[in-house]
Amino acid sequence: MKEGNLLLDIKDLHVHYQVYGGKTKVIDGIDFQVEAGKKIGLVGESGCGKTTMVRSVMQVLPTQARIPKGEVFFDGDALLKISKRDLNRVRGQKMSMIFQDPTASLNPVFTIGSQIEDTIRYSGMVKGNDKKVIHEKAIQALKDCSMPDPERLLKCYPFELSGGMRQRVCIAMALATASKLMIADEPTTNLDVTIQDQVLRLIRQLCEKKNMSLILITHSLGVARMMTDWIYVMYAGQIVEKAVTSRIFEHPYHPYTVGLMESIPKLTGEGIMEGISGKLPNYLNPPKGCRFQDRCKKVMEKCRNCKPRLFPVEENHQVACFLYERGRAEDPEVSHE
Amino acid sequence: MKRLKYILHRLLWSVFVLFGLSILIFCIARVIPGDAATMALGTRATEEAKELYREQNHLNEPIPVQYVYWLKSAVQGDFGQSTQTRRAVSSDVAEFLPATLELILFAAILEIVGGLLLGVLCARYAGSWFDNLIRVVSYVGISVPAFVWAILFMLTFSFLIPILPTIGRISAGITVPPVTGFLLIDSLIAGNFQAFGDVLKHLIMPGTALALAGIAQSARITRGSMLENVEKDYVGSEIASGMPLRRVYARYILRPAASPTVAIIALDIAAMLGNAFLVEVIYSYPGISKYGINAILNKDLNAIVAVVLVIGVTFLIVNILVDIISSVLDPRIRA
Amino acid sequence: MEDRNGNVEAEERRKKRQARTENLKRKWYQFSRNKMSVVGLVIVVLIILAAVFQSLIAPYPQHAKEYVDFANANKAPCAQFLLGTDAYGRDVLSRIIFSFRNALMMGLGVLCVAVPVGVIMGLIAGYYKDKIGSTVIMRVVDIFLSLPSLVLALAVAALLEPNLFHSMMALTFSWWAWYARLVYGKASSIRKEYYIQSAELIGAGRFHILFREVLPNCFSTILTKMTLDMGVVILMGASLSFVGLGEQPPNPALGTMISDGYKTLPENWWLTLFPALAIMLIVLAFNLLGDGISDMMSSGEG
Repeated sequence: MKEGNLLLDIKDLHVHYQVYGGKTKVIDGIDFQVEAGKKIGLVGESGCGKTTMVRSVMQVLPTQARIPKGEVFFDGDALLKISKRDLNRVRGQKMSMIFQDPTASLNPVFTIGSQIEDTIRYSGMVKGNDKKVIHEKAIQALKDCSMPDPERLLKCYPFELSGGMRQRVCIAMALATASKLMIADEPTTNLDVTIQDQVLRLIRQLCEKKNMSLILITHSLGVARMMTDWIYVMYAGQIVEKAVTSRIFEHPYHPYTVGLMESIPKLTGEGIMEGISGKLPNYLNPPKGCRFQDRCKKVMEKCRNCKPRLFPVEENHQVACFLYERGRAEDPEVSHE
Repeated sequence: MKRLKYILHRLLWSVFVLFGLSILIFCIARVIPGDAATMALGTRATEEAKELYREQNHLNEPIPVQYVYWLKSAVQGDFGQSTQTRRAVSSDVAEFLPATLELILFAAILEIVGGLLLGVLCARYAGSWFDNLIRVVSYVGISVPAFVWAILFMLTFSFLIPILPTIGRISAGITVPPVTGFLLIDSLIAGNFQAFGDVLKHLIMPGTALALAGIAQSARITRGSMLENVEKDYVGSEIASGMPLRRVYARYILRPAASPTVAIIALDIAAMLGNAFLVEVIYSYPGISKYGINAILNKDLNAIVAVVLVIGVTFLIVNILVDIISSVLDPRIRA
Repeated sequence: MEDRNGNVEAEERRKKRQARTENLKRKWYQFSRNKMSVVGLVIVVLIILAAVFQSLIAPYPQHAKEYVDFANANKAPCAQFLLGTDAYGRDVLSRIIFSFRNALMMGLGVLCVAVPVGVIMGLIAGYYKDKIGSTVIMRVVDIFLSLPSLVLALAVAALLEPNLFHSMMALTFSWWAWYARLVYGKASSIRKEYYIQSAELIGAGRFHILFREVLPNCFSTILTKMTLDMGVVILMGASLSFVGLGEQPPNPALGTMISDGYKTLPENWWLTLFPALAIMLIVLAFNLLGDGISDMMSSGEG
């Protein structure tokens, strides 16, 4: 995971939301890397900042969000610094995002066709914006997602389609223009279980076909295991553990990851899962030190004062927890406040 | 096909409403005021003359029969005589209606252009000084009745800074051959640009006075419903697909947000049709509303009924147009 | 034993009271978040106070009626007559203050009749949506709403003897249908909710369902519209009296004052400008208040 062919490199990213009563530090110093062609899973409970993080890569944050600190490098461009036009070029041609809710991510008053064709038009992939070529590309995109009767589909409005169909249209739209990175934000949460599997397979297939990187946000560890090469575990705006997928399932280190694993219901139905008690800390006034301290069963004195950083515990496995820093020099860094 | 069916349905429905409206107006005019003959002929008329009038106008029949008589002639465009101008009400209406329609149309265009433009800009730059300024101004705009605007404009632009004509529709001495009755169009047909400018100048004050509240209101509604849409995922995915923000706002946010604006514009046009009664009086604008006010003050029943009915028809047409426009804007409506 | 019960009751009462004050505090917070709403509330209160204590506040209470003082006629605003005097030498400020009561009466009177009538019609039509009675009610509503309110009110007022009461009647006549349509929309969507269905299942009476289940859920919508409408009705009343179909002279009405005044423009500008500003102030205040109430209602319970 060192340099070489890094596609996306997020360095010390902070995102704040300006809300009534102050600002919430939703993303608090995140480092995040994606290698070309790799599939990354981003897991964590709802509200931990997964969506905010990927939205800040795409630069589609809500209006009250600010990025006070941090850098995002993508394929040679510093996304937070380049001009609007360059940013649109990157967004149009190199990366795409699939949003969580298929009912909300298609504009209700335009036909599928005019939406797909417009995204293709503005991606600048078609020289001279030849209408015919754009139309063919749109049909091709739908065909790639194995949609039946694409010609007719282009004339439909979103409300005439089922949820699964809509989500596949979203994927088709995203894939029509992306060439390097696909971000999928819980693409299957709102779908039927049977359709979930189809959609996920589709995303994986298409990414592999185009040799694209994928960031998959999910709170289902099962999905992450099936789909990804690496997993980042996020908690309250910070990355607490990252590892190669196979390793993390074999040996989770961080108490939070352990808790997540334990909270998966087993089909054998033996006993009730333990899970994690408590809830996410208040972002307006997060605790000093480790943000997981109040819910952690193994909390130590140090966790209350110092902020843990990611450090390697094995090859391809990093954890941000003081439990595992045996043999390391004391990390003198005190929390940011 | 669906759209056609929808429009047809709306048209049929309007015919029914129109029918109901005519009953309502007829009842108001026949039931409330007391003796119609006395009102038409004055209190000094002889009993014989009154009786003759009643006989001629079927006033001795029961109300439903009277209505049928009235409807029969109304359908043929005969609304009886005006006691005030001593002419057929229908020819009065034909003379005065175009002026009012021209004024309302002018005001409606002002509202649509101004309201949408301000609303979109406020939504785009929400929270900026411009947004705040427009918000305060629009509060005032909504709170001041059109006839007060009319007077304030008159005070300002006719007396303090006399740059606009105060009364009428066109300056004395300028004539335009009547074709459509819409002086702006007629002057263009005649190629008389001086007249065109003159008519336009006469429209500015009454038109703006009528439109201001509507502009403020539609700007607020547009802003609000656009901001509601900005947070939607599809806007995110459109921006994320590399589309320039300007296009996202002008097309992908405006159109789903436009339905409430279109609905409010219909209501505002209704308000304009009402306010025109006062504004036309203030500017001595020779339209059907001024004619209507005179009819009201002189208790000219036939004219009142005709004017109210004509306004009802106008508003119905506006409503049909609005329904069609919103069904084009939002396909979910006609589904 | 009894003593303990009493204690428990007292405790419960205290808790209820606490919850109520807590609720009120939250409402007030939601209302006052926008400072403009508070400004609106203050102005409305001031106007109501002025209307109630008009004879104490107005500098020349006797000027409100027939009063002639040609020596002081058409005076521009000065220390003696803050807003000037009219053609009969009457103090414009006093007349404006005296017109507030009629303006408020106008708004209240119209809404007090139009709202209950419209709400009941709308409730019935909405709850019994697919019945024939509902169709009839709503078709009648459609017909009433096919004319601009002011035009219908003008037509009705025109045929009656011009006075304040008749202008109120005319406005009421054209106003109830708005509430019927508003409540109809709300009630017809509410009737499908589970809590209504469960009330039906346990055999609650129609009356109970309509007025204890459906109506309270329309309440916030109605209240918001009412506050905003106060301003609009007052404005319409002023429009009617501007044409001469409202309160008759010598009684003061803002519309009449403006229509008398504008004929003397531009010389006696104060005769027009100040009554116009007064109307604007009233309507503005009710608009601000209405927005505040809508903020309060929308972020509270539904």
